[in-house]
Amino acid sequence: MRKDLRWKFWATIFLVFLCVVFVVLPYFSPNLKSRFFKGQDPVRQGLDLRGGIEVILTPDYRVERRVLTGIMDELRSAVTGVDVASPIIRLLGRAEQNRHDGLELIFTSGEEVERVLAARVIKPEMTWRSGAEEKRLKVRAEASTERPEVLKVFVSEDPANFPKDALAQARIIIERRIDSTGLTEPAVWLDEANQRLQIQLPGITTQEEAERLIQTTGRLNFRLGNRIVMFGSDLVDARPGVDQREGLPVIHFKFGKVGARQFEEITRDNVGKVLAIYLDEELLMEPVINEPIPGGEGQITLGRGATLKQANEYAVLMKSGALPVSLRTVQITQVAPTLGSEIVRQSLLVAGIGLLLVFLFMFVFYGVPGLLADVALVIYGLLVLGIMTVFRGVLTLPGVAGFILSIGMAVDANILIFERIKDEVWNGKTMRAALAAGFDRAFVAILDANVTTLIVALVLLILGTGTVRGFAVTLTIGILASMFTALIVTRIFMEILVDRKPERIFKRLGGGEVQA
Amino acid sequence: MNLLQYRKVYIIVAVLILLFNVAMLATRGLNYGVDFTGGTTIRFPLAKPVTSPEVMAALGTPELEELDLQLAPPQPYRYVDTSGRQRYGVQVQTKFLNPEEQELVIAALEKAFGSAGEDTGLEVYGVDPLIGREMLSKSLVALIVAGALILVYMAFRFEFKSGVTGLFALCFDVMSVIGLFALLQKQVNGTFIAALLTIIGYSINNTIVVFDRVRENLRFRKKDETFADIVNFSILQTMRRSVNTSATTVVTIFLLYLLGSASIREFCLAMMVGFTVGTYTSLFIAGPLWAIWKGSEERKKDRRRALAGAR
Repeated sequence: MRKDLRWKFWATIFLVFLCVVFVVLPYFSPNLKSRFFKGQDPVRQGLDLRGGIEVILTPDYRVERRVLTGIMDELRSAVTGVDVASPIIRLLGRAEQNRHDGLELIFTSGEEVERVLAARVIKPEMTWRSGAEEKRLKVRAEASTERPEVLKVFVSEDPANFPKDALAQARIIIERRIDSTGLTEPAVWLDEANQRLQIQLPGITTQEEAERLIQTTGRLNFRLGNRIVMFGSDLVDARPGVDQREGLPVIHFKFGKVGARQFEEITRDNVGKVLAIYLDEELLMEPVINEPIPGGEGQITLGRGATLKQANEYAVLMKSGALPVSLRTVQITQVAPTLGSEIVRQSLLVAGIGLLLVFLFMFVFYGVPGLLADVALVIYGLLVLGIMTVFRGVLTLPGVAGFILSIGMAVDANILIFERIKDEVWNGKTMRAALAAGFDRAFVAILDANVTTLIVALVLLILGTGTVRGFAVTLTIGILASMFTALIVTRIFMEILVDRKPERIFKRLGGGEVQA
Repeated sequence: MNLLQYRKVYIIVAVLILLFNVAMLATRGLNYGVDFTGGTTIRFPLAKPVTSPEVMAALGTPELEELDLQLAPPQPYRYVDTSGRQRYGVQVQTKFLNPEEQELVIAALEKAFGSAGEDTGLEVYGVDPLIGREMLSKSLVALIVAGALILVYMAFRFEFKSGVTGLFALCFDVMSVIGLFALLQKQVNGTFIAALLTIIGYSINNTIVVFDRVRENLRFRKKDETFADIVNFSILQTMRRSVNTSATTVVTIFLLYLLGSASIREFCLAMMVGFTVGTYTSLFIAGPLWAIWKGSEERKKDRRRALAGAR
């Protein structure tokens, strides 16, 4: 064997060996799996293949009913200043967690609506105050398209009401909460630019479970009557425990300095009253204030029949409930785990049959070189898996499609090369010269063709969302790997073969006299 | 063999087909899925087949009426899984449901047709209308940017004219698939966009292989050869490769179409049609169009040269 071929050959073998040890063997050996990947699969499967729930959350800037009712009068007096009859005011849109899109003002005629809009009496910004709360609101008035006598007033909270990194804080809190449940491989991503929080919960099968982890994470608040008197953002700790005297489950809680002072004031002035604890608009508990609580440390005794597990859940909710901003779900994907594994089986079946067809095709059309290309194809497959593993990529269903597709492109590169070599042999070149010329000429075509496809894949990667991105990742890796195997690995094999038995290769690729 | 003899016919037919597809899109419009319109799709597994009205009735409880589900006619489906078992299910599409509402709908289905339980294939996909609009505009941007970059690359590697003809072939491919989906009113969602972009990649791949041959053959051009002769020669040289490659790929995708679950079928349909059309366009549209354009330019040059010589 030629010297340069020898080291190239062994380098390829070494690469294949690495891939096999790193990617393939761990599937069969739990020992290697735990050593390399902490017990997980080398190529991680996406949610659509393993089953589970994924939700995408965004800050909920819609306002609560109590705020909307609070600004009703202000709005009414503003519009009646323009010489129109006092309108009927109703909540706008569907209630969701007690939040609405705004208000609708129903006048007697469309002409009145126009007059109100023309006078610009509805200001784009309003402020609402109640108890400890103050909210800046963004207001947008718009005539209804279906009913001209209705003026829609969209009201939302000014994002400036919340800390700038509210979503980042929310992410940390949700992550902590999910971690405490011991779920395997949950994932939380923050998309700062679009203000999105993406949460994947593999293995979870019902919305109820998912909701317990994320949906209820609202702002913790304490209410006297219907008025919020304090927010839970200064809560330092909340732990479950058992009361020494009565053996009932309790929640120990502790406030920071500011919260402690505030809490002391409230409890001192309202002994005997109910201090309701809410998460957002959802009632959590209604404990009675037995005595003033100084120093910010105290306990809530749960009633009879309550379990320690419940106390724990409440404690977790209270602690992590101190979300700086409320969130709403904008996208839900839920896949049953059995469906996922069924899809994996399906894809493997199709990929297997597809590969078999391709192998047969290459052998029938191109003989021994075709067989070499088949070997290169196997190496290509291993390489793609290897790269996916190294970068800890996640394989999704569209990703599998991208993979199957790039097999086609890998085959194509080989076909291109072989057809070129055939042409060169027909033109009367010797086998060795034809091989070199064939690879060189095919290289330009393969490069141009793959670069354009790569452009498409990269555009998808950058502009695509969710599923499309998974597809783009495997397509990109696939294109790069296919170029490598076709132009380098196949070539090494072919040259070795030509070196040894030129006549074998020649039989299929050319005609006429055998010239080595 | 002279493939380019009827090159003008190819292009006229292509333009007619393109117009037909544009008309399809304009008159029938696309059936946008929840990815783009916003909404929730629930694929609920069943032990035995049901009819659409039965499902409608099951979801007609007063509690659900109040939610104003905006229910589309439920679509029952069936497939055979890899273990050979016949499976049934129904697809229910509504407006975007928040988690609580979603639980209510699933509970109503479970009450009527039995629990979906653990060992089944429940699948839920919900998108807020807000996100849907964003996805649609992002997808369009992706298509346009990809097209523009391909044009630039081809103009750089070949010449501007080949870039334009290549792009025309691409538009033809993309419009063929879009037209078909408009005609059949098949649902268009995020994976459809992925399919379109893959078709673009693949078709440009085929076109480039032909153009690459043209570029190479031009170097050994004989005096009396017209540009069309060279294109013709190049197409014949690359035809076997194009057909071989496309055939293997289409067969693989066809398998996925036959064996795949319902959710992957539309993706495969788009790919099969796109790849087949893409192979045709790279041979009978991109090349001939380039030949017509370049040919007329060369003839003009010749005439000018002839005039100059006469003087």
